[in-house]
Amino acid sequence: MSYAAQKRILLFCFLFFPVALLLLFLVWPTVRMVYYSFTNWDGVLPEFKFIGISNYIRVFNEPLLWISLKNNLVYAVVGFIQNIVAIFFAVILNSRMRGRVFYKTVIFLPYVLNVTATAYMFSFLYDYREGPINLMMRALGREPIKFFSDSDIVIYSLAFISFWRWLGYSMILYISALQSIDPELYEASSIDGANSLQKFRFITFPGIIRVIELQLFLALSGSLRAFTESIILTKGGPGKASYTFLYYIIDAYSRYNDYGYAAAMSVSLVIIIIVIAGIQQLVIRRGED
Amino acid sequence: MVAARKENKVKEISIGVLKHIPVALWSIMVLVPLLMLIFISFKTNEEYSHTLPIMPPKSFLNFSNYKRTLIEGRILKSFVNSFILVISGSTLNVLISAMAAYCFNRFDFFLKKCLYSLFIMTAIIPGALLNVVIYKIMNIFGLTGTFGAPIILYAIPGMMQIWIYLQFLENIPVSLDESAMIDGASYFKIFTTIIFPLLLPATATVLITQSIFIYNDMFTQYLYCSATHLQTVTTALMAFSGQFATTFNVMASGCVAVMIPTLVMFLVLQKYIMSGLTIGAVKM
Repeated sequence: MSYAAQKRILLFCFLFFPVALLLLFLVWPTVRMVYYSFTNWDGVLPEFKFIGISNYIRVFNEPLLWISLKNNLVYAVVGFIQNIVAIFFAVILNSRMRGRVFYKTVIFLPYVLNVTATAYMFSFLYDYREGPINLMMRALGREPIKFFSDSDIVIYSLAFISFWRWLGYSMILYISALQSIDPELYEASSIDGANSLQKFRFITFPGIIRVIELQLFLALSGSLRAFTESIILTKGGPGKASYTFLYYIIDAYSRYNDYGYAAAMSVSLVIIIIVIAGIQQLVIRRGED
Repeated sequence: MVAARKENKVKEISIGVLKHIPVALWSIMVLVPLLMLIFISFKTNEEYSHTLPIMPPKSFLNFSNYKRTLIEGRILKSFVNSFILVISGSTLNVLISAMAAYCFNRFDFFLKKCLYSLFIMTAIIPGALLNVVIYKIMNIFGLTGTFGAPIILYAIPGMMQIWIYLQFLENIPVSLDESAMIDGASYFKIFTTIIFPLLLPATATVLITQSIFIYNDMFTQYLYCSATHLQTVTTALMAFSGQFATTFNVMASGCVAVMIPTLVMFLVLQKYIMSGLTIGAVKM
């Protein structure tokens, strides 16, 4: 068989499954989602009406949505701090020191542990009556902290679990970025009399900027997708204090059968993620010039 | 001169010690909760309510909590289900990703850019959002209530896997393909006998990271594997927590048991896991 004919057959065979899967479970659902976002479909009954953009108007007038978004913002800020700490740790562990491998292994460890099991472990640590943190607070003669039942605190308690889990992951990425920087640059700058802050500003930082860029995008889009801890531990409570955007969407369609509205929120979320990615690109590109 | 050198040395040592403080503190933050969890999982109810969490249990041979979670809580059974998902999901994912990446790397074809951007979409649109529509599609194919639905969802190649394979493919010289073509080998044969074996390190990386992802993933299993006979470790643990929320020593044994497989995998395959993440992200 000629190579041209072979190529056609091979491309068809090799790309059929991935493309079919993506069309069926990514593109088609996305198209349907956009379509349903203009209807009042309840997700069950066959008949529904087109209601124009009123779902979208509702999205921006719903107070609960703003509470949820504020909670996503908490996740984003925590994610930002996580990156700063990760860079700090990476710089430390990239230098010569005893126990580097041990520290790296331990700090990375939470990333591989089962998410659900980790969440339950934290529910114990945070427990009001028996949790070790509050036992310690009582022993020190302080008020115990209501990690889950205080609506001002709950989202920070949940976001910290994700901080604990992802810190090592970001750190490993930064360490390998640091290792790709040419050590001669540091030597040359030492000869020129640069101090460590200048070295960080002019050598280290530009060397890891691409990873920072990627990590910030992951932290931001990840924070918009946060919902795991809320589903497992608080069911969005107390009241609605630990609702996140995605939790709210899942709630709207699974509990209230408000499918058209949930679809409109989903579309808005995707648009927000794309806009953030775009803005970030612009800001960072400008910073580089 | 000597004094100055000595002073420098002192400064160096003190910086060396200072460097340990932050990383050591965080290591404690990681290890102490896990240690407490393990300790508690071996404590009897009596012991649990009368000793501090940080104290080791009287006996590390008290497996009564494990007996309850693993057998009564059906967690032992759920391991089998989790492994079915992990093995079939990650194997399919590897095969499909490798084949797709091979096409993108070695050939030019109609709509190539367009198809490629489909893979980028997977990184932008959260899968959890699409699940109401996906659930209906799965229903049409009769896949809900079986392992078919989660396995298919885990088999879909993501941006990360394609990236890792493309990185490795770029380092395999095209001249290898060409010399095989002179010998009359077909493209299919080139892929199966030359390219795929050379991609083994990439395959190991994708296989491991994907296995950890599937084992730990919550949402897909929460949607499709909540029925008793489909329970995975994740959903079994969630069901179990409803029953035994008040006695945390029992719950702790479930958590420890569920954490063990990936923990062992990590300790054995540490190098692959860390380098895998790096290839996927840093070289972009």
